[in-house]
Amino acid sequence: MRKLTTACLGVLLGLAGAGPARAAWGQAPAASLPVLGETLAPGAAAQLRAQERALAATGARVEEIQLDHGAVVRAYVAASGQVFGLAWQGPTLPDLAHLLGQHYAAFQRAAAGARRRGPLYVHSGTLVVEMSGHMRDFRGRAYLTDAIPAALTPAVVR
Amino acid sequence: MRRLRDEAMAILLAALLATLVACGGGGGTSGGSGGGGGGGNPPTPNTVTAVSNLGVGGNYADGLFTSVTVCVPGTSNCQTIDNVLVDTGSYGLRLLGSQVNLPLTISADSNGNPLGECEQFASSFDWGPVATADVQMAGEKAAAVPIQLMGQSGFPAPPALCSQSGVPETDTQALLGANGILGVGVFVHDCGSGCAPGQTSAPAVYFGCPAAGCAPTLVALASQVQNPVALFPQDNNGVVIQMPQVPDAGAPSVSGTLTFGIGTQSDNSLAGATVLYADGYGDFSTTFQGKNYSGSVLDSGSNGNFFLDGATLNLPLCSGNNTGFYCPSSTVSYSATNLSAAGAGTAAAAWNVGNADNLFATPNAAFNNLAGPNPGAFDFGMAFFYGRTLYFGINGASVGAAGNGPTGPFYAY
Repeated sequence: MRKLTTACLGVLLGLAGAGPARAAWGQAPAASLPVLGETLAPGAAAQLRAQERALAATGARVEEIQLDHGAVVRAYVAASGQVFGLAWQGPTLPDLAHLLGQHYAAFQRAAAGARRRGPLYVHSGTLVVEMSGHMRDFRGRAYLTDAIPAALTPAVVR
Repeated sequence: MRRLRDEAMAILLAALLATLVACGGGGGTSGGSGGGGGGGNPPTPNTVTAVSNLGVGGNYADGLFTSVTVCVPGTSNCQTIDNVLVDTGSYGLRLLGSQVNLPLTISADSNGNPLGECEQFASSFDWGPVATADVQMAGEKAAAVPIQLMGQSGFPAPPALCSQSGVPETDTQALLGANGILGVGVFVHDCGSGCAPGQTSAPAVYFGCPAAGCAPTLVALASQVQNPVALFPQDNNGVVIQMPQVPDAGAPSVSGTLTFGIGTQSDNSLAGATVLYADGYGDFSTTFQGKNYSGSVLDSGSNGNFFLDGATLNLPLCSGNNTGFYCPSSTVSYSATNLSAAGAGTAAAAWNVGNADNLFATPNAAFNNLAGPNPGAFDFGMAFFYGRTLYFGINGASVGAAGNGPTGPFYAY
């Protein structure tokens, strides 16, 4: 996962100061993290790169939150403010109980029914959660198929 | 549920007996990790049988199982646990607490509180205390190894910080489909420096568990759950897994070998294999149809070959209970090139993708063509192991005299 600037993160986390904003991975007050399907107030202007320009054309944006232990969460936010996708990378599994919000219970049911051992692949109704990796290095993403802006595809969530 | 075939049971019993005999014989020890041969001493028995079958639950597909003997440290009070999943994607021995009848001592954290661990995989987690045991396989014996006792009764329930990932906890025989996990991948420690003193905060991996509740804690490397192979007195620089090929429709049971050491004895020479160095995460990369993908692994603990996605490959997914696997109407062949994370090593990879619904409808357990999606990445799972000899070199350990062979972490085949 590419690293973005952290310029917007202080605002997002409600923190001030010069250092990079940090919240604990899986153990902080999770209120500062985005929630799939819910709204996320705009952060400060982020520097756009090629991928983000496609998002910007639809009024969508991406914000990145850097967490303890090198973990990162990126929120993909539609023009309406709704978080339609999340991507993450970190040494341990993320707090999906928070990140998936009202979709968490459906995720748990679907994940428990999987017959495979290996990378996680949950496509259940409109909810998609995918995760690969191993201790020290997990990567994943989640999105709502019915919340992705019409001009975009799930490929932007990465 | 389907039953274990008799032949599989016979193989398991034979493996168990071989283990007992080897342990009883005491085994001579030979040179160090990098040594070749072992001078004038008889070579240490360094191979155990590994079987791919339906497993202890009778419904596992593409699982590789072996037996592991654990002992109260420094004693002959030992127990052999069968049906332990051989996992090259994790590091350390984990046994279901319900299967262990030995009085093993639970480890303590730096404050003297019981030490628990949340071991995470991409699609499941295990929780339980860390304990110390001697670990024996073939003629190899590692003393005082920190292991995990998964789902140990009487230990606190998983803390929210462990379970809030939402993936299922697999701490029963029914949910795990095995009696334990033998992590023999390319690292020594399951967490490493990220969980050790020196970090500013503790990740949700190791937990100190006073009566008030479990909280994350840092654990010195020596006390972390770790790959027992690295603690063998010899043959400790990695493992070799060799499996015979299976028919297109699969096989109910197929027996291969798990050999300890690389280039240390006549049975584990690296000659002829291409070395793929792994990066700091244990990954290499894969070029497929002109595009490069990072994060590739050779993981016997993943049951299929999990790669890319149905839209990219124009492959239909199965329906019903088998979503998560590909279901093409006829078998499709794929090839790719695996690239070393350092140096110029490249190794060709070719595999088939069959219809998982049809495969699961057979009484078979070992499939070389079981596959499913893993968007943007390649996980060469157990399906890739049949008909191949695969090497797993442990981080920091060398093959051969210093400078003459590769140093882990690496894969080779």
